[in-house]
Amino acid sequence: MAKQKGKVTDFLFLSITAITAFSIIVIVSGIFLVLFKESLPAMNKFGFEGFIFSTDWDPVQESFGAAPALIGTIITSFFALLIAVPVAIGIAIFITEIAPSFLKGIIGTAIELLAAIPSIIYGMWGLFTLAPIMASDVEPFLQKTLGKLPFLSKLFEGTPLGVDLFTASIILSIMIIPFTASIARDSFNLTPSVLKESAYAIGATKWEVVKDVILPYSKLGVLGGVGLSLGRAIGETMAVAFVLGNLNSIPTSLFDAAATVTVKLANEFTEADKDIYLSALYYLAFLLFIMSFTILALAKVFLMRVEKK
Amino acid sequence: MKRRKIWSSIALFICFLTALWGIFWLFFIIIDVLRHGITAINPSMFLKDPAPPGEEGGGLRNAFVGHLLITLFATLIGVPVGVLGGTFLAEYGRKYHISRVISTLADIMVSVPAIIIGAFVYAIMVKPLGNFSGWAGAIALGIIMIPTVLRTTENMLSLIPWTLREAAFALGAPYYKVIIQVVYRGAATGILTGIILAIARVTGEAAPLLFTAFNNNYFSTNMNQPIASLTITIFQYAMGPYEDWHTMAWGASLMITVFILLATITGRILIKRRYKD
Repeated sequence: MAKQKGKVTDFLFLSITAITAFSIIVIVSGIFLVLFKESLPAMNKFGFEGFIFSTDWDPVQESFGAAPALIGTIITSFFALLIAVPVAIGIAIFITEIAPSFLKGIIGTAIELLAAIPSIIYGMWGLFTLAPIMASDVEPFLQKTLGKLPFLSKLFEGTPLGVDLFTASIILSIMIIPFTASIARDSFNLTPSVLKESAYAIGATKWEVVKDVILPYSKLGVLGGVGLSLGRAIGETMAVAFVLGNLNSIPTSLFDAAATVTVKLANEFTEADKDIYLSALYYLAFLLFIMSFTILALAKVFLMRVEKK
Repeated sequence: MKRRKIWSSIALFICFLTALWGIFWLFFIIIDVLRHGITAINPSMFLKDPAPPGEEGGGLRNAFVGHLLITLFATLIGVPVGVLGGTFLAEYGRKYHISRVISTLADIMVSVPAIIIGAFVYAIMVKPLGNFSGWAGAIALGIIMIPTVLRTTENMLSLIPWTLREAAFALGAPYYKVIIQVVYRGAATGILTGIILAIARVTGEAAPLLFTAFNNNYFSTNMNQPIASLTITIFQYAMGPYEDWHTMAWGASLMITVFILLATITGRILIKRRYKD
């Protein structure tokens, strides 16, 4: 009898845990289906190419296009990665190969705390502290130096106001450093010491070991880390919402105000008074979901290959 | 020979500089939030509700209480689902292919933009019911918590050696008893850490609350109505025109930052102690 009861309870417990585990699948497919359904009116009206290549955003005329927001997302994420990836790899090299052991833990934790600071704090700080510094010192300096170079001058045109793509990219780059850094650090640690030691034995310097042994060995893991950072960067909302200005136009310079997909959603979602307006915003959200899901899934595939090794 | 050594030193020095760069920003942000926020902290910030725009005084009592409520209910949703789901993946379902699929999906979900979750909950709750509500906010944050808690639970349970379970099986204990009395006990610190880190993460979320819990300028504990939260209040106040609002936003930022950093550091210390060797 007691045994029977144990079996029943066991089956109940199994069922509950199984249901909760499957909730993940329900949530993911639910998000996909709901976003798709909500954006159907906009999909039917504007089509795919008509939506992503159009620069209109006119609630009165009911004409919507995603191009400025998509371009804003791509530019901010690209520049954020451009700055963050080398820095993150440098940090990982410093932690694994250079730092004395008592510093390893401290610096590692400090860098990971960067990921713990909420994005709204980054936004606050970006708006009130970083943007004024950018406007008064950093951006005029860049205009005087890099802005004088023949090909780069276009990128640094305009009045430096601090509320622009450049500031947003810098903030994003700080926010995503920890994601690449911690994964790069883990992959570097996976390099077999036999490989490193044999390189040292034939007289390689420390940098040569890093460059020719460790980096090639762990490139898959680093790529996975970069993908994870990119996924984070394109979905970041609040930090960017503070310093980008939500301006619906194609930016021509890094010192222009702009919009990203997330900023548009954050600013306009509750204001959308017409069904087609809301549907267009859902279309944006759907595209964002597909993009970030694909990027994150690819990153995960890279990382799983590393684990298998 | 010598040139190679010099190159090596230069490259390694640059790596050192990158570490400084990262730490520089951390301290810059934390000190800046401290510096601005400390002037805003006073008893009336916690005890009074907001004054009408432009008027002096007032506080953020409504936002503190609202934030606490939303986070509490989000935890009540996210933690049980996450822990039990993680249990399935690490125990009953560990041999099934589907478990690995769920695990991977959860990993992806951890990084999916939070604003997407907000839009999702808006469509399934706010739109059909016709109004913003504290419940919608709690559910959005709960959904964000689930994958985080689930993955840490799964990892922590997998660390418990199988011999321990086998010893309990040998005494004739059914699987659920083994899990609850042996496996959970061994992994308690790890699971708790996962929960603390997940709470720390959702405490700072603003994007998913924008179109779920929305905001409320008045004191309210009614979860069926729009409810104030610290993060949305920060957003609204920082973007507003009044100097007074900005100070208040800095004060709220300081409280959130301190809470999250303390929670994160506590979590790390707990896990280090438990898995020292």
